[in-house]
Amino acid sequence: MLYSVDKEGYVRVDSSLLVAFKLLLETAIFVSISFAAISSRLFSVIRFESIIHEFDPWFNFRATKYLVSHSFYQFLNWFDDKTWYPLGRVTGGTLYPGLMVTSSVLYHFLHKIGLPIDVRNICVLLAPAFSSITSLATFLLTWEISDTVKGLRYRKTSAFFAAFFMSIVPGYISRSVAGSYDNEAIAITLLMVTFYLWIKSVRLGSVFYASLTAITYFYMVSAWGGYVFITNMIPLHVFILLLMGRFNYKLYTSYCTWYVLGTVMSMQIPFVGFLPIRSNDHMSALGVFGLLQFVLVANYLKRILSPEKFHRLMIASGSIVLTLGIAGLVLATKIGIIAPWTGRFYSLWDTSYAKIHIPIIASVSEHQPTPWASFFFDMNFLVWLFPVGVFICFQDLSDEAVFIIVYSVLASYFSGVMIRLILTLSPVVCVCGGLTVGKLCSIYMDFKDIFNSKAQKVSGAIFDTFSKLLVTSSLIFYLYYYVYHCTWVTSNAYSSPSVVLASRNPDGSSTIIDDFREAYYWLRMNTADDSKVMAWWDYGYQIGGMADRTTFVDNNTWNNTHIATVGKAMAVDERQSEVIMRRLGVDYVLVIFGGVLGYSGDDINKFLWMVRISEGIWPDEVSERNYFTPGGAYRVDDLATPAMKNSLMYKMSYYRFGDLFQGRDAMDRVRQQRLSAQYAEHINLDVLEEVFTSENWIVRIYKLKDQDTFGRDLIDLGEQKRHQLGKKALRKKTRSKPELDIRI
Amino acid sequence: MLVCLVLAASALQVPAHWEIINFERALDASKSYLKMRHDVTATNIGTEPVDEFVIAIPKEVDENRVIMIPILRSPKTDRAFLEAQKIEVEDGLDDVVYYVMSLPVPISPKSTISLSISIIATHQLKPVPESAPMRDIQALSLKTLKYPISPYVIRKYALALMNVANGELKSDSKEIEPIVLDFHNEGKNIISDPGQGTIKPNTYIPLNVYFTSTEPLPYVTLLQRDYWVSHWGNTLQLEEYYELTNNAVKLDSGFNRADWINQRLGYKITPAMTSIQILLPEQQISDAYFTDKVGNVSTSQFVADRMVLKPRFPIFGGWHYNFTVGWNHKLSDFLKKGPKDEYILKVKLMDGLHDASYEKLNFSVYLPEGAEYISTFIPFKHEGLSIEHSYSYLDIENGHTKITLTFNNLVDELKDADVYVRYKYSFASLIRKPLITSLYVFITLLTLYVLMKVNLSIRPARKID
Repeated sequence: MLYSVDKEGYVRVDSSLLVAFKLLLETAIFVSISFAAISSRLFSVIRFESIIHEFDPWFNFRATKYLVSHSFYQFLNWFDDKTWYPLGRVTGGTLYPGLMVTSSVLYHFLHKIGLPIDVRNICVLLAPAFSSITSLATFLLTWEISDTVKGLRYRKTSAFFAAFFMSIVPGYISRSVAGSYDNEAIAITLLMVTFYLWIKSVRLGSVFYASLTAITYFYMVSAWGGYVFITNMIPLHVFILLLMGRFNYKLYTSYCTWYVLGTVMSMQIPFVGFLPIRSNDHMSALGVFGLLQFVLVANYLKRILSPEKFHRLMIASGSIVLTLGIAGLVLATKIGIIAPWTGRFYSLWDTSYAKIHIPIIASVSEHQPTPWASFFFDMNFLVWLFPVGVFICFQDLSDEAVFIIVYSVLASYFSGVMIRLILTLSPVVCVCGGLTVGKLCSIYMDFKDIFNSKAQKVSGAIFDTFSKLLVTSSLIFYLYYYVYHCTWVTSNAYSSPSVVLASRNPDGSSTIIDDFREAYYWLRMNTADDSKVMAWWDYGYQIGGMADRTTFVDNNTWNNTHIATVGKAMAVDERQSEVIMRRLGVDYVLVIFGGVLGYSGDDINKFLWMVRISEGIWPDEVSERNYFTPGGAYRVDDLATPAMKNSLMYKMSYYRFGDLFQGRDAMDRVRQQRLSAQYAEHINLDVLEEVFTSENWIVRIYKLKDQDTFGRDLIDLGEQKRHQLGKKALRKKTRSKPELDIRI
Repeated sequence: MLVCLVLAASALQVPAHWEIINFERALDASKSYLKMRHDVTATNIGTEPVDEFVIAIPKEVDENRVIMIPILRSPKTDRAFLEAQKIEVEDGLDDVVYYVMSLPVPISPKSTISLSISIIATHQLKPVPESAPMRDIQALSLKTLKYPISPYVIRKYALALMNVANGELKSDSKEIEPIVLDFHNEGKNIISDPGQGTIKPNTYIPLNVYFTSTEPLPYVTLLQRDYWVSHWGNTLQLEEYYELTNNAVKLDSGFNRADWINQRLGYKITPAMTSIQILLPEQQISDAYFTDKVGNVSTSQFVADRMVLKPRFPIFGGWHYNFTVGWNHKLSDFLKKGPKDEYILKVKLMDGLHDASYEKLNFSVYLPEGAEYISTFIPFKHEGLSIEHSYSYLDIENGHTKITLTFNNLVDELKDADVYVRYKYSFASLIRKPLITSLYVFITLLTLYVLMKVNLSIRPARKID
């Protein structure tokens, strides 16, 4: 019998049935969380199509296609001669292969079991699939931590809430919508799994879990450069525990196992190589490893020595080790054994560092400091649940709670410095939010007393119930609002592939602006296979991925000089630019121009970065000041500075732009500036020939003209031609005058 | 075959058995290829009954020939379609290819036969000049012969050039014209009155026809056409991959979008292809799509019986555009069940463009896994037939049976030809796939269950409370 009715009239249900029912409910919750996680990430597929988004994913996609059609070792040794022309790129050795290997393994596995899904769909749907694993990992992590938090009666509830928050938090969705095939897509999952396993191993002191941590850490290293976050988080956690006097053998076992295995494994990734023992970023892990050994010895000595002796010994050896350590570090850095801090690292501490010293880093919008609003935008009500969660952790200060505190502090700081690092903050925010809601639930959502007739009615029970109801209903409202907000943000802000733009017709119906693919496909179809296309580095990966043509610079900004060369070719006048372009071997030049449509992400708006980056290399030839009017305005109309008017980028953008307005003044809809018809007509190009302009003018492609057969200068030729034309036009004008008079 | 070899080896002289008393020639340039029709009336001037007739066509036409259909109009017999075999002629011209046709009945002296020969050839229309400014009107040239070439004497001749707007005829030959042709324009056509006289055998006088055309010249270098048969879903899926080129006049400079917009050329009929029209079959279709190598192209719409695709960019002369279209049919509209688990699938050779020449067509039918191929039937010659296996969704054993037919040099006019595929597909093979798939799923779940029961812990087992 599964249930029975006892003497008092209560229904008694068999415990096995309850267990089964609980299991069913939990499974159902997991399935719904996964469903929510995946489905909210599919907006872009439904609204647009199954397409790879933005810029970097196009490279990952291209690399995945290479891996799928070649062997793994060929992939690692892949020398790509289609990028960074004429240098080429040792692609296999300069990427994190984790993402591509994951997709390729999935691809081959699915093919084996009779599901030949094509590579593109696997790549597009990888991030949503992994996001459901992330919420599972968040559940486990919260579950582990909630164990130690006092006064948390419903551990599972908080864990489920954390998982639910994680599944749809916009901060994470921003990097994991379908089609956003980037390293972060799987890295956040691995981050959470690694942290969960780390907590588990610290609690149990288990070599097994520590090894698992090392393995997932290795996977993380293979997948994302952000693995350094883990490399520093775990030592910091251990270090703080040591400072708190929490040394124990469990900690020792798990850290040493993780560090040794993790470091050795991480060095197997070609791109990482010897960094773990040579770069400053990794030194804290090594230092803590040494410190742990020291503490271990000290712990032993403490037992066998008298306190007085031990005290003296400690001070002496401590100071020696400290001095030696720091001196060694400084010396090794000076000699060059240890790589010095990189610019990206400095920019983490000083937000204006990059702007002054490395414009190429500053030119990336996702490297900008975070505005406050975007915290709310990306986390909604978790923003204020988060500190409460951290407070709850402080109340108890178990080893695991310390981990969460360390994570919160570090991630909060970094997310404030760089907008893209909100991504690493989101998981801990969800965990803390889960803990808070769990705690609230255990206090305010407990309505057992009402139904319990046996309990005595104490005075104030009404108010008690009332306050419970109030808190519960406001919580429910916030939860509802959270879901609403997340869906809205996902659907409106994060689901645009940026390759395809959504727009509205004058009559309100929605339409798609597909200029990028139009132009890239034109390049692919109608240019020679070995054509070299020069464009600003933002479009390098897209040209490689969609147009399948050789590029000079791309989004992997490893060679600043080469990028500066391209920037200079765009920034200087035609004559100088021609020299650079001929030397580089340019066939086609591609520019993005939004003036017709009002697309603000165009090259004229990015132009100052080109100028700045090339100014960094050639300060004598390019100067940012020259592109601003004496009044300090950035003008593109008749009042633009000569440097601006003569620059190749400007000419390419506005060439024939005036023709579109048929005699009226040309209006740049991005910069809201008016080019007079007469002036716009006189923007000319001599060394380049327009070969293609997309439907809405967003992409314009020019071809570098062949050198004159008689060795004449192309610009002089153009001048002569214009001179003659000018005369003719003048004659025409004077001749047509009488006719006009008659008509009047 | 043997006969052919023998004929080819020994070049022979064409005996002057025939005299052509009337030769009417019509060339039609309404499409991107050339359609020709020769109506010939000939009398046997020999002394013996003859059962062979030799025709000659210029080599350039022969090389790009899509199809040639000689029909015997009179005397009426039960075998009107004649077969033509290539022969070498001893005193023939170098630029001319000769075919001999055997007549179903010997024709007695002084009797008359009437033949009509239809030929379709590609690559006959060329833009002149090859490149021009965008707004110029395209001029095409058609290289042909002013007088019909024949191994026999011709007494009466008329030429009609159809659909050559603003046509101009030019003939630079120094040879004396055998008869006087009086051409006059009738709308878009240029027609000559029948001219009496004597055209000697093998008179070869080239004629260039220049005319204007606003139409593009679509040319498909490769069409990959795949039919997927699914008995479970009762669907017949079609996917076509086109590699399209426009052979029309090229741009003399780069593409100037400002002019294109200002002159509203996108709304006019120009040699640039701004839309691709795919004629749909009359059977019901669903889930149509239009993609290319960089993803979905959102600009396709259905207009009456055709699907109008707007390519990403206007395809000017010399430009290429590769794309894929596909849709689903109901399988029952195309399938007939025969005895003993046999099925006959009847599909069209092409749906395709309204006007196009095809260099190569790969026509494939994917039969369900486990189906046994029996035979195919196509009304005309193919270049090759191959039977392979190809893996697809949930294929467990060999994969789908794939039948591929390859064709060279086709035009859209042949699209109504039907292809029949006969195959055997038993109920056992139909039921096999779901059974095996569910078995695998069951095994996986069972393994998972067993694995979850395994305790890998090295800790001693705790006592059960």
